[in-house]
Amino acid sequence: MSEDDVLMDRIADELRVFPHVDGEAKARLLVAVAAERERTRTLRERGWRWFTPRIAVVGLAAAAVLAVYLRTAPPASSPVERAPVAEARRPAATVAAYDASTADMAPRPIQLVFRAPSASQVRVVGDFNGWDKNQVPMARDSASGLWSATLMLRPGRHVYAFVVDDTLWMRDPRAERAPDADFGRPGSVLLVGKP
Amino acid sequence: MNIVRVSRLLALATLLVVARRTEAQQIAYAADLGAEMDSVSRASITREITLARDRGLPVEALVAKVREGRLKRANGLRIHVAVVALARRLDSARAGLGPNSTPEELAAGADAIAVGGDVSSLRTLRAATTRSVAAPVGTFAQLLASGVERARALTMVVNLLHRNATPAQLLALGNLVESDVVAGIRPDEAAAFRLRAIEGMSILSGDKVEVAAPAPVTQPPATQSQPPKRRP
Repeated sequence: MSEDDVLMDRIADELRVFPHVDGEAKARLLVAVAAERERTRTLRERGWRWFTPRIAVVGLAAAAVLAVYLRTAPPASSPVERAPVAEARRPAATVAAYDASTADMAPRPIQLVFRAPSASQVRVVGDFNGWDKNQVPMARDSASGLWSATLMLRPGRHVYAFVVDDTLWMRDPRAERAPDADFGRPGSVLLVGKP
Repeated sequence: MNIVRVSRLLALATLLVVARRTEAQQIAYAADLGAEMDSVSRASITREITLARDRGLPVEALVAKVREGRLKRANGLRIHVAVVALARRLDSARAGLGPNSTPEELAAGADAIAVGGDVSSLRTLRAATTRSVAAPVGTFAQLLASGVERARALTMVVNLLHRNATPAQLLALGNLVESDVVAGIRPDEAAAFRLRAIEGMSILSGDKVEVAAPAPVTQPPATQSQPPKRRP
């Protein structure tokens, strides 16, 4: 084997080794690619469906008029039909109390209890308080180590969780699991109102 | 004269820029965008919420989504993707439910879209009643999320609306079906069973009207307290 052959073998060996890839960077890249693909797919579908030269000219003119109008008028509600983007994801619906117009939709007291003896602070977050951790602090029973809070909730399906010591996300172990397609951290389901 | 005009224009432009920046800051504060979030994500999330607000979409739902993401320790990019997706679902919901929909109706519609509902179904639900469709659409979403087939779920909710079911009755149906499915019953079976139970109990206000029809005013008061006679 000549010296060149040895050198070529060493180069080939070096090239066979994959470079180190940062796992977090890779995950970020994948999320960005997925978002971009979804965006371009929607744009492409809409664009090809409607694009003809004449429509393009009319569209440009209309866009110019619209731009001027939007700059001068208050926000208007103009429904734009878009393709549903998340049909395949099937996250848990947040069917919370949508309608307070009737008496039987009146809020009713619901007590939530969570065992965390070593915690110094536990709060309830959910769709009913806009996931605001500052709204519902729980009270601690020193004898049992149980934390509890009573909420006034309207009938419907609610998703909630506990935030322990301001950092730890905990779902209620006694409640049904609410899947989460957006962030991958499940919550708990609370069904209020059955005949 | 020209200098005065140019000065006025500059002042106006400055005011506009300042106003836009202030709005963006307000949204950023409302969404509780923490200091640990990178500046690119902060800016893109704020911009997305501002655009949604300018389109007339309810901002509260988007702000809540940001808070949820932060509580779950999601990174800025992921929160941005979730906010964009929710804004699109709200757009679709408005396309189905109409431009005058309330924030609650749009939130319910977005939930329905997320679990397999479509714009056409939302239009059908809107046309089925003159009252708020927040609870009907919410029930429709809950049935879909429980695994009930879309056409069947839509028919059930529309039929109940035509029979004057109250919002609480509709939501109770959704809750019961979801509980049944969690307990192991097949979704369509649970839906049919619970619907039959509600119809059998005659708890729908439409049924109440049928059974307890008011007596004619020409009858004496004594007969009004008796139960109405059924036709043979």
